[in-house]
Amino acid sequence: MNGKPHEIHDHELHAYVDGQLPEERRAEIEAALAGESELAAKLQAYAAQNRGIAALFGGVAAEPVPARLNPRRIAARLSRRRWLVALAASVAWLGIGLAGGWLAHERLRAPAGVDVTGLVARQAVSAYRVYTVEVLHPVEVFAEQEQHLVKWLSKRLGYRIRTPDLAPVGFVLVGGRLLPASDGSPAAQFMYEDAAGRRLTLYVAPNDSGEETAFRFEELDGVSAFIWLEQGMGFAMTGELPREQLLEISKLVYATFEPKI
Amino acid sequence: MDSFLQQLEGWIPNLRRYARALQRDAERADDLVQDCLERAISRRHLWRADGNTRAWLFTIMHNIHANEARRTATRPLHAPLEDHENRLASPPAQGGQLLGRELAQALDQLPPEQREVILLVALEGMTYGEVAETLGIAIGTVMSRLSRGRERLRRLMEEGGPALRIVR
Repeated sequence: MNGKPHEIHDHELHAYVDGQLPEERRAEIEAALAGESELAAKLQAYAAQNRGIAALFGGVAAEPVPARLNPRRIAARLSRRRWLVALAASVAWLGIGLAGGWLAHERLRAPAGVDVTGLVARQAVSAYRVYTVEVLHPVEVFAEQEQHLVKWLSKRLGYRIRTPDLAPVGFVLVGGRLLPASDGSPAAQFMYEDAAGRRLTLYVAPNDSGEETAFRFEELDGVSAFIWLEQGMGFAMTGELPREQLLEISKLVYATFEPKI
Repeated sequence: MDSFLQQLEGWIPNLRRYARALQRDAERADDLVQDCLERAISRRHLWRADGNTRAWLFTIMHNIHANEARRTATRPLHAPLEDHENRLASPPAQGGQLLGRELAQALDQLPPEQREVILLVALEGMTYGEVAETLGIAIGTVMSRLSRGRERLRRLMEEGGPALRIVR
């Protein structure tokens, strides 16, 4: 090779063949190649390779494109597949939900022959324990909004509920709240209080066992409850009162809900 | 009109051409293109409208092909040459051209990474920078693979005797 300016680097030879060399350098290389027969042969061989490859496969680009390579079709198929996967997933979830619902039903809803009043008693006493100790938030809706409270809970329970007047026995309404019943359906709790701060609750939950019962007394860990089933509902009057006193109050409550003929 | 799918569609002839050079068998080549399009469409969130769509698509195809080649390393990569000969895109051996069959045979003897670089430059007319971007390698690596590959190809053609020489 003849000195620096004309020295041809290997990568320049390729860039020349591939048309990726600046025009100025291109001219220099052409001039230099005149005296370099071996380099010129290489260059010709490389260029021939490019042409040969283009001749071998270039025509493929002009062939009609098969339908299976249509991007819109592929996109539609993929989104269909995604949709099916999502559907399969939701069907699986539905299955899990149904199975879970069935199991929950088995577990929570009292089948025939099961102690429905006992179930209502346990729910009523649990709710009593949880909420009567509350100082700030014993109820969701206070007695000031009694009309709203009654309307709201009646709607949620699907049963025309009333708030018994317990003033004759020294108790006034504090308010009420919505609760989940044992089978997950809505239940209601009303809270009453006397001048000494003692509290009572009336628990009302749907009862679709078809059973109707008279008063039944339950005592769970010092909490007393009178339970009765009527009109497709379960009622529980709960408090830490002597049995006789609670019975008197329960009779008042019962009278409030007794169907008026 | 979806500009992403439109762009994809525009590059399909290029993808098919390169795939055919890699796979030889037309069906397998189109399988490769289909896999590439499916992957591109399912990853369209990675596509940049202002980016190099061709490099993006060829990168996807390169990755699929490389993975496939690794998986099937024990099986022959290409269809028999007789099969290929019938698929020549245009009649070879015209003045100054290499004999197609021998060139194809010589290409088959190259290491895949050298063959890829040579094909992307010869078929796609990619700049060396684009080849580097597509294959995820340094531009210096592109140059050395191109240089070694072409030199090897040249020697293979010369060793092949008169039938493999340039027809003048």
